[in-house]
Amino acid sequence: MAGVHGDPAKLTSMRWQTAIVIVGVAVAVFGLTGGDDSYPVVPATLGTPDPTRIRWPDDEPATAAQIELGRHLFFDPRLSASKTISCASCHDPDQGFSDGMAKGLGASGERLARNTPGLSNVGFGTLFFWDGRADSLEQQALGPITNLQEMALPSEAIVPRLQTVPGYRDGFARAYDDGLNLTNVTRALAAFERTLISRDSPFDRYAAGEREALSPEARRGLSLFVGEANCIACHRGPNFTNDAFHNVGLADQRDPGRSAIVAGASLQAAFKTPSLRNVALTAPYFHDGSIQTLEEVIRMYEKGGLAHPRDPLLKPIGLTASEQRDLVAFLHGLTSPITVTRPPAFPDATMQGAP
Amino acid sequence: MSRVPLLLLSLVVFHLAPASSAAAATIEATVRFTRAAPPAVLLWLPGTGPWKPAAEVGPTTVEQLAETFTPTIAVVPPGGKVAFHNGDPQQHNVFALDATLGIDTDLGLGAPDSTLMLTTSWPAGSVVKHGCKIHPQMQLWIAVLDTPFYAVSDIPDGTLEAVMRVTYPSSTTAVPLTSVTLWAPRCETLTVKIPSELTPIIRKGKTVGTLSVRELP
Repeated sequence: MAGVHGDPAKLTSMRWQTAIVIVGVAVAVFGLTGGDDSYPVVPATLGTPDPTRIRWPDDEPATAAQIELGRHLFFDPRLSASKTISCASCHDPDQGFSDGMAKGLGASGERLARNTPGLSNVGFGTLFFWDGRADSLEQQALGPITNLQEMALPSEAIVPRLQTVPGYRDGFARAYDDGLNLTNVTRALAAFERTLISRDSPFDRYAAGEREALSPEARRGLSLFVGEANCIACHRGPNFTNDAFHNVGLADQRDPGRSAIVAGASLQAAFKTPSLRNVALTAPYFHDGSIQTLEEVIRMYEKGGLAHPRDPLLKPIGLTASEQRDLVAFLHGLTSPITVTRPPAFPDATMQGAP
Repeated sequence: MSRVPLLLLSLVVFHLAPASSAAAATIEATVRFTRAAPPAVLLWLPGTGPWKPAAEVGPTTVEQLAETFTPTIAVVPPGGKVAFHNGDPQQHNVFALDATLGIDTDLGLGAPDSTLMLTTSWPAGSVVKHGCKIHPQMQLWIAVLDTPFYAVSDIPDGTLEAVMRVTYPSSTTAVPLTSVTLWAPRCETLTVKIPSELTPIIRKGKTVGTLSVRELP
């Protein structure tokens, strides 16, 4: 050692060697090369949602007044028979517009048949409900309100009830040429739901060129997502869904899913591919809420599903535990909570005679 | 001419008659939508048929690739066949439901790289929407026409216009060329005289665009 200290040339040489080794280790461990492997390219089949691509009825976007009416309706328990449940009771903005439960709770406190889906970017969808039985948000909006197990308010009771509320009566008269009617109630609700847009997640910032917006783990997860794990086969597009129906091989295959709506052998126990926007906020997962965490979801897919029949796309993947963690990190990178202010309830003029 | 119409023109799918006649007429149609254009439009010259015998026409191939049908609008003669090839790594399930025409078609599961055949059964001048049961965003329209003189144009996302041209060998038939018919998804079928200017295209009772037709010199 004394010799080294005493020889400036050797000392400089060793320092360089040490520096090279350190950089080499850093490159190997942390991927600091700045090359494609460390910063994967976002494929064109993913991306950030463009709000101008949302489909509005008759291609006419809603007005601010119509959206505001929809916001009031969304949070208003008057839309349930018991006046205790609003849309937001299950689609809680603080939980990714889901409810945190495996299956939702109905009007009488009983468990519903399926998990409450989140609503992030729902306005970009083409079919609604887990089985896709509604082909517009307007049609969807009426479903839970009138379903006897959910909000249980008969369709014919909706308008008379809202007529007793000056805020709605006057608001609809101003916002729609034909005022307060059932069609406009559904249009207002759908208009509000189309504003629930999430498009500023770490992934979106990374796609826009902010290279460190995703952590190294999440970037490795992105590579797996579009590569070896092939999640992109179904979870693609700006909202990470192909809006298609697949049987992913969950343990419980009793729910007929899409096949109850459209006959077809491939549709037995098949459900709509959910968007992955804000997926970290909407546990538990799948139509039956049977899987509690994203880690478990990845483990399930890593095995290629749990039961048969299932979509032939699903096969064992062979991911290491570290790679599974990377995928979960990437899924967290799709989080961009939607902030919605709960409006003060419109006061009743009178409840006498109201249904 | 701006770049966009030129690009659109390059995307037009032509169906040209044999280039044998000196007395040929070329009809040009321009569609301009003012809002949310459909994915494709179809133009034909009514009454200018018939096709060659079906055996000579052969099946029209529709490719299923990247969960998209190509072409978006397929055209066949009466009783014509459509061959659905699955170029995707996953299954598809082509189907059609049209209560008005009594169509209830289900071709069943199509495995990757398989081809399933459909024989059309609906009358000429009718267009039937087809889809995939597994991938509902896949949309295809199959038109049965009694004339081989037609043009199809895709309208790419974000654009609103299409220009179509059909060349008609007028010397080979006694049928005078007087009108064209435009069909677009969800819009009312429109038949207009040649020439005509800015005829409204109607969707759900509202004007959503215009059609102009002229014969090229």
